[in-house]
Amino acid sequence: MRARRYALVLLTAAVLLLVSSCDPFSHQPEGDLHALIFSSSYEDISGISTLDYTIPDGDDMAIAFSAYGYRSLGEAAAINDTDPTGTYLLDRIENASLVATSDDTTLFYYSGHGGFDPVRDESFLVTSEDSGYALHASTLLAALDEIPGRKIVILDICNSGGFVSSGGYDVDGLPEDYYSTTGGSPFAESWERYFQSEDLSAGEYADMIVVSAAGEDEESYESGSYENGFFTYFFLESIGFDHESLQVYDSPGADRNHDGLITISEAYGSTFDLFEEHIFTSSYIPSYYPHISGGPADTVMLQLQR
Amino acid sequence: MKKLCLVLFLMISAGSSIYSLTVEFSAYPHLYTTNGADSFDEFLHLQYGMSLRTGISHPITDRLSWATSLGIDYTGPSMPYGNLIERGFTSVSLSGGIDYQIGTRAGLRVLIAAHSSSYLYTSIIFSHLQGVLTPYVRIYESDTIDLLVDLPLIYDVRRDTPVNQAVGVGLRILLCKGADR
Repeated sequence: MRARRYALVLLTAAVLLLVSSCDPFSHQPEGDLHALIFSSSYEDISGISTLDYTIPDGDDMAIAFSAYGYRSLGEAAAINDTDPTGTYLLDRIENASLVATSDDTTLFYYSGHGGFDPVRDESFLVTSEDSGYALHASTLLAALDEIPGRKIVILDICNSGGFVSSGGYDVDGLPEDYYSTTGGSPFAESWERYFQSEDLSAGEYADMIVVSAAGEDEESYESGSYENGFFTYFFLESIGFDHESLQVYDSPGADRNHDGLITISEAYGSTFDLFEEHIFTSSYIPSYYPHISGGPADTVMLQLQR
Repeated sequence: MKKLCLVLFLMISAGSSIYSLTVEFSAYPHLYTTNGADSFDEFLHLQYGMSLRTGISHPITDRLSWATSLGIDYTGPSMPYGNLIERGFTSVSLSGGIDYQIGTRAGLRVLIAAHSSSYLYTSIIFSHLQGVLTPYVRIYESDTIDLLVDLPLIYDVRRDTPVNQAVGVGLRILLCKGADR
């Protein structure tokens, strides 16, 4: 009898706790949505091979993100800035840092060439000067970090995994090259990092999440049959972009928990699933892994009812 | 049931020791503090979680026994705080600790669990330790099975978020008790 009374008290306490634990601090996204969308075809740029579908990548991203309420600086919608020079690109980022507030979300997207610099041991993206200009990861991320608010960085370029932070207390379970291994157990490494005495979160960009089309040691590809880069094509599909009508449809697959919000992690997860379905199983398309930054914080990228 | 118990008992017992097989489920709201960054201050938020675990326990004295278990855990993402949501994660965990029985019906269990976790929708892996203090009440007892209601108080020691605690409710089933041996 006494046991039942104890049980009843415990159960009542627990149920009350569960029921009453609504979250008084929670609130919906309210800030402005800024888009910095760039693409380079390198047409008429000497010394760099031309890319056919990077401009369509940027155009489609601009259409999709405009539909979700994103705006480029001084524009009524998101626009695709084509063939930017390095100076122009950094100027646009600096302008965004003057406009954005801490409640805002800024999307930075780049489709073009990328590479890895073994001397500086970091990846870079190639802008549209003659012979190309290497904008290194450290320079780009430091510039973007100056923009107040949350930042989402999406890169459809070769070797873009080098832009995704590998510091902190977590470990990317994916290798930097699809056809190799991580070298050690990511589980063992995560425990090693857990017991490190130094603060590994120092130097991380806490407000920024980077998604890369490929690993640090991988190339990213585009296709005439898709008329996009593979990554951008499937990323757009995941957020509900219809490649035929160029419109955004309801109920995109990336809203994994059906809460009307799409976080960058959800969009990444859906894109990855589409890669598993179409790229990893293909015998004629080289496989490569999209990557995403770690850390406990996720960013709301899209609001479906907005 | 007796045959199943016998098989399980043979699998988990060593020599003449007496073991019990436990299966437990618990659910809890998890209170975390998010580290501040340039765009937001440190703040409290909730994430709901649940865990399913199975393990063995073995008496040391009349009142004291040790327990170990293997579990899978799910912690959902938080609600939105402006444009920020704390990532949910899934975990595989291994725990060990002691169980102290207070009287015939109630008891207290202290466990330390090692979690290897992965953020939802990603391949990002992180590890953390968890301390769990669980008052419990035995609500049903028979020769082969006991039912216990748990009230786990969880302190999650993560390096990436400073304050992490949860209070939950759980149901634990003790199967193939040593008395059946």
